[in-house]
Amino acid sequence: MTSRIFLLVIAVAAVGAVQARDVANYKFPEADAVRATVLGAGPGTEHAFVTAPEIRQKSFWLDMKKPGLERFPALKRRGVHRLEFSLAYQKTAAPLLVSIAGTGGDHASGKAAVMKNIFFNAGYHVLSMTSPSNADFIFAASSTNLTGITPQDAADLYAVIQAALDKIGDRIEVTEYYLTGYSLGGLEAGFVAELDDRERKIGFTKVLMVNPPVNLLTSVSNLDQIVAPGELVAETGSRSLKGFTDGLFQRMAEYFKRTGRMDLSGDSLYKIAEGIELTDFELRALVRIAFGLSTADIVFTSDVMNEGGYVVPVGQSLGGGSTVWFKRAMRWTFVDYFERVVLPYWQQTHPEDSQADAVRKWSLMGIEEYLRSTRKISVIHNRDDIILGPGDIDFLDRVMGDRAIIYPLGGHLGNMTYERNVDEMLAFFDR
Amino acid sequence: MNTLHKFVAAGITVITLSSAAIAEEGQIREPEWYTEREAEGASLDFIDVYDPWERFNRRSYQFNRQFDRFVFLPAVRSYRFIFPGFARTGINNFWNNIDEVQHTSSSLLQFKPGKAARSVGRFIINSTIGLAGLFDVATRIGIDKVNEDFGQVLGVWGVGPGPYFVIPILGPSTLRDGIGLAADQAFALWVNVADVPESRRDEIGLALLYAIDTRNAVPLRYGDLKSPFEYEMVRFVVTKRRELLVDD
Repeated sequence: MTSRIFLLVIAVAAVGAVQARDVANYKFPEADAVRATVLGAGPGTEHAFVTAPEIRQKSFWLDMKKPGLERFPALKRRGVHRLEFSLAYQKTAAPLLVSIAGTGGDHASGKAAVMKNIFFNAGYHVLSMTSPSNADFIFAASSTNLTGITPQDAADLYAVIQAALDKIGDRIEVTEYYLTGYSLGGLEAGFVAELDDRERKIGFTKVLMVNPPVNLLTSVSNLDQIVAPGELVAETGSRSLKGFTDGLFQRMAEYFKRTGRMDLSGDSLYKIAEGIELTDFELRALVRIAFGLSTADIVFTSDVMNEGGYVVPVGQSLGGGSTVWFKRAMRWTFVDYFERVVLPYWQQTHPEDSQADAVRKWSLMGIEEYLRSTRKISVIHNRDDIILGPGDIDFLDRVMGDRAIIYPLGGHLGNMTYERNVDEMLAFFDR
Repeated sequence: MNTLHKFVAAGITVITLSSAAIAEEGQIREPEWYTEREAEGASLDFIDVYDPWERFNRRSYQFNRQFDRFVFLPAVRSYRFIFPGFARTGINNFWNNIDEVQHTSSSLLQFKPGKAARSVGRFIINSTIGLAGLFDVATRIGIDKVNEDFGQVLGVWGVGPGPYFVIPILGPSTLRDGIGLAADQAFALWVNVADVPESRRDEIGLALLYAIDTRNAVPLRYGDLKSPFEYEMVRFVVTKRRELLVDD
């Protein structure tokens, strides 16, 4: 008996003592985290699997039959209650990878499409899911009409995934079920995996979290505050975002005049950004605006559905005139949304939880034991990821040991398409 | 038991009342933090685009979305099914070649002979080497496609953009470009290159093929942005893009 316990202690200590895998010899060309996040590494560094010119895929619609949507006849007429997802499929039997989009992303958005392409090219079926932080999902499938309560978002997502698999039926032959997600989708993937292990409705055998938030509040604060208050005025001399965007477009116009060509496709955006010499402030401002747009979508949708009355007057019909509402919703930071909407909602049913308690439950800490003890789940991250705070990498190191693969550079998903990173992701599922 | 029920009922009432919207029907809540931020934060004027026909435009946008979903896109899907990828590229190149004529004339009217020369070059190369445009040889040897049309001509000659206008079926534009589009088609008919533009008009089949091919080539679908503010976003991008095109 004692010897068994002794052996067990040694085994646990041994597992705990294994370090996160820091990637050595990493040749990623962009050392600046913000530049990497916005621009990636530039043309010529991408893995061949990132594009899939003749991908085989199909979109589907799901009606989750969520109660209460009769309150929004205009939106129902437009079909907003029908949640879209897509499937890239192989003609033969293959593993199915469920891929969850990042913050505000839908199943077909840029990075979701990249994941789809990569794994389709590698021979998997890929089921692409819209993020629970996307307005469509909140409307059609969220049981709380909110986003941010990760265990609840994961439960809603799990129901949607099952419905999607039912809808696909036996169109495809599946050998195994895998799960992945990037950014917020990575966090949700972790929670869905944990839920799946308890309820056993699907049976994921491999789970990969790609650059997830570790502490959700830290991540959203980092993005909210990536531009400091007053910085816009200091840099541009004015509070006007129109002035800022006009300035950028002006430089783009001059660049096009110089080069004589105008092409707004993906690859050329990198060249354009180089050509107009975006400054660090401008890059951060672009990140801030993009995040602000996602946040505005979320704040608006929750406000309308829960009749908060902050953005849209209660009972207002949603025919049109949304520019005013857009401006109201854009005033909110994600932290505002957390503190003024999501947390009070949570505390109605969990009055004993402080903000810190709630945030723990909604972050990776909320599934710490699961992550520690479950060998099938790994995480890929970057040391300089802008969504991470002090101690986050240490958390991954402590809890996941050699199942945490940490790159020294890349920002937030800046290295997602980099050859070495894609090889790593492919290797994880191929093992 | 009765007391317990009353207690629970009271508790539920308290919870429901505190969670209910404090705002009255039709009112907006404007807490202090919000008004302060509105006063001191960045000005969101960038989203304001001259759109006096907004009500019509929004309805047109929704109509286009449904039209896309029930008519146009199913046709595009059939198109993709009937014509495999390689053939679709060929068809697209063919129409692009015919369009080169319009690009040439627009470039000349804007005093951009360099661009006009490029356009003529592409047309000649493609028509001779490229089997009447089927292989977009010019792109491959490095002469970029020229992106001009009559709408931009009007812009350079000083005709302002006019209001934002979501053309039914065809999609968002500014009024100037809507006029430009019609002028383009008229000019193409006049030049009558290889008899095709008139055929394009007369033969419904060819016209549809042109339309479907054009639609197929545009990756963005209505509803693609999955945002409640898609109308504002598209309006902003379209307007900015037109400004960029005029400027170059």
